[in-house]
Amino acid sequence: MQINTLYSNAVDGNRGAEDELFAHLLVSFRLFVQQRVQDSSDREEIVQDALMTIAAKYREIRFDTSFAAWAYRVLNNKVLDYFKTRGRHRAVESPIGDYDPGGRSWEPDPALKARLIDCLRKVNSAQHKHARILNLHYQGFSTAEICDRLKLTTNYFYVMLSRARAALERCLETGEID
Amino acid sequence: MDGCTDKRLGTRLYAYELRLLAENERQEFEIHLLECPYCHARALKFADAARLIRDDADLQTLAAEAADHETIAPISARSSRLTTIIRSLAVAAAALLILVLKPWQIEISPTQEAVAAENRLAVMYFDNIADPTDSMRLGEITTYLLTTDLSESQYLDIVSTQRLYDIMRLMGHTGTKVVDRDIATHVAEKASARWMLLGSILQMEPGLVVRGQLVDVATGRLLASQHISGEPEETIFDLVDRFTIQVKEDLALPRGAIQEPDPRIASVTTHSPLAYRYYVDGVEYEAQFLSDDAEASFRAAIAHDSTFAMAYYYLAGLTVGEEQDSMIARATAFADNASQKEQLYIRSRKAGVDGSFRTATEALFQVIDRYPDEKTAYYLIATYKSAMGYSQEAIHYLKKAIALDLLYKQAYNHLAYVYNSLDKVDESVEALNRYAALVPDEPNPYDSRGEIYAYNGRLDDAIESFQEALKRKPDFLPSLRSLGDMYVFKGDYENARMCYEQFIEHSDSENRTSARLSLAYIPARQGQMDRLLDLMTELIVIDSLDMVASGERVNQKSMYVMVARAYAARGEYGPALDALDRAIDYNTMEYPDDKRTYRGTRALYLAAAGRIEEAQQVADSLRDESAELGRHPGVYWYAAGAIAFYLGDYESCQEYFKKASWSTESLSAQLFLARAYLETGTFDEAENILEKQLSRYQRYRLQYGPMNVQLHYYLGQVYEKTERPEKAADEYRTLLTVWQEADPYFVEIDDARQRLARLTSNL
Repeated sequence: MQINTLYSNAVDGNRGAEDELFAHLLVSFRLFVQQRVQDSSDREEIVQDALMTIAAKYREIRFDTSFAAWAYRVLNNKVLDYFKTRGRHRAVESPIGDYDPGGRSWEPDPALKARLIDCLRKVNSAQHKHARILNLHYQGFSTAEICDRLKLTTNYFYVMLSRARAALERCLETGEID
Repeated sequence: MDGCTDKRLGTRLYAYELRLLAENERQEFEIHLLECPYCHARALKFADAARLIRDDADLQTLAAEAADHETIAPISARSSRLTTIIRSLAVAAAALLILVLKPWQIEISPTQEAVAAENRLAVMYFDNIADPTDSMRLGEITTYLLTTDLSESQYLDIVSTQRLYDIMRLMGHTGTKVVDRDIATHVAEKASARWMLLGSILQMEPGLVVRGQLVDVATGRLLASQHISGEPEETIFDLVDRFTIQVKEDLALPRGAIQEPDPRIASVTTHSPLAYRYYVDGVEYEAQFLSDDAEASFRAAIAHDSTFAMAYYYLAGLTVGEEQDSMIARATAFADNASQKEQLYIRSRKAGVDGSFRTATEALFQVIDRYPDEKTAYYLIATYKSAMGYSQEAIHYLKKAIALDLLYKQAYNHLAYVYNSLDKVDESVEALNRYAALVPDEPNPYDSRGEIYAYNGRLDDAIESFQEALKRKPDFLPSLRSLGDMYVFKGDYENARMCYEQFIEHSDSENRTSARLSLAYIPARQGQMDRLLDLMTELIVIDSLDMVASGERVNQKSMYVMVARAYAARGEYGPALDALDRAIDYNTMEYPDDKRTYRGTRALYLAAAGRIEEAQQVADSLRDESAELGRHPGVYWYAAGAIAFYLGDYESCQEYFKKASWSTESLSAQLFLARAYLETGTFDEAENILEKQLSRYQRYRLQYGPMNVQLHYYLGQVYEKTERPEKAADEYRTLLTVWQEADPYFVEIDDARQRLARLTSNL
């Protein structure tokens, strides 16, 4: 079910819809915050804070755009607050030069990694530009710079990546890219 | 699920997963992910694979290999450009550059190609013929002022003074003020300049007389010459204004170049020649990392012109805390007295000091849009990017900075730390080795390498690196202190003491309190709390006398924290709390707005003493104050975790300490978290935390006194519970060795002894 529909049902008092709505937000927010915040425990705190704010307010607010856009803005503000407070926190509150080693590192699944290596080899040999895009990306080039180098329009760049991803998905499921 | 609700956005999923979307695109796409069940499901299913593709070193290598096979032509073309640049350098330097560049595939930026950019001018130097010693540094000042004034033009691309300096340095002319015409031409070529401006100061009294020559770099042809004579009352600023107009006319620029607003140079720098002279000195000291000299020069500059924005800007980079706030506030207030480029730097630094790294970065992007040679802007972008956790982007911008200045030491150094943050230790060490190869006589690359080794559990390598740093500069304070720390971890207390004593001896009065505290790490590590308390009493008295005699403000908060930890280790929470209160008082004196620091520890001691209600009151007030201040409530979670631990509520304790993980009490939080996991039988989590902490040979561990040794005791228990008796025995042995002369009241000692006896009898 779409998130905005879940929201409408939840506001109407459907507890099941509410549970489903927050479960959806939880997994989505974790995914989003993972893109931006390194420390896993900080990530979880940001997500929980955002969900608490949404839970406290979502029944009272009338949205100009959509519930999803509003909920997303809540999360985005929490992330921005985090960066802001973290910068200040470190500047002001480390009186004896303490160092925080951060959260635990993520351990990849070795079997998935092995399958992915195999699939990437196949996709890279069928779609050479995919390897070049990845390689340039790993070197730190932005989308605009990569498109410029490879003479691609931005739209075609996304389409090309999308095809490569679809092939990777297929390969991870079946072992083949076709 | 029928399919994607917006096909245009749907194609961006992989770009999103790879972090290839721009900020606004990412936000648009994430809202789409919330709304589109199809893409949402695909993203979740592929999340682990995407993360591997994004971050895994093996997969990156795979892509690099595949790309190499496919991109022979472009890489070859790039190499030939590199060869052109390197050919003119000395053979040894060339070999060094190949060593530096090849493994990272650094692409030399287009501005380094030997293709003259349209309307690109290099202001080379002004030779002071009237005073060959150039005692007033008028030659340099003229060069700086002309560069700044001409840079204001929208019709000219002026090579920055920094860039010219870097090229000269690369060609082995470090510190040369005046070069011959051939070398100047060569430097201008390297800077891709179409024209160069050389000149002389012919007369200083009664009025200044300056001559200039505009030369076409490619042909060597003299395009025009300028001769500006000043009246006795005219300053160098007046002459530069007239000179700039003359140069723009001689270059036959479009009509708009003459009509565009041309602010008087004094209005975008200073009206005081003396202030500017000190400023130029400061900039040069800064480029040579001579911070003290640079600071003195910038202070002298503002003493002669209290509205000199850029002098304040640099001072804001050389100071910390309140003084930094004050300096950047003044730079901002007087920013109208700076050039366009400098205003962007000021805006960026102001945002950076305020913690708005994104705004700081945006201003720097504006700098490089207009002035693509600005290696400093690339470098600063990288520092903000890495602070925001965008390590890959930081690496990209550091490589761009290095491409502009192949000898950019700070960039190599920072690159090493960014690689380390990505757990790419080999790349990190490699960056530092390259940095060391560039400056074999400097201690800093070895000091940084020592830190990287220490962070990654390589104690002996760290010791060797710090020793190498000290071979190059025996009084290099960061290495002296770190080597002392490493010796403490190693159990070589005599050498540790020697390092610390030298460290104290060479520290300036401002830093001597924290230097003295290092001596406390030795008994703290040995578990000798009685001796530690005696030492602290002595250190506090000596330090107070010394600070008063030196005219410094006495601030012994870190000393009292150590005293508190010593009493707490003895189970004497009353005196521990008294000492902690002293530390809180000192901290409040220093940071009147910060009333939360150390109060998490206060709650911990209260809870440990069984005064739960009081501990809860501290925790509640920390929560309220954090909310009021809009600050991260880490210190509240720390307090709540401590209370839960002493109430035996280990599940809540885990939850709270996880939330407190980046509070200032990190080792303590981590240790309690591990103990809570141990209590609930979550051994893998406990093991992760304890092993990680023990692999970090860093000062923060020593600051926690006995706790850093207790890590062995609890890790031993984890190994025992998970049936790894040999490893458990090793941990107990380590504890008993480190604490062989410890005070008797540590219950861990007897227990570890009994556990070890039991384990060894069964092995």
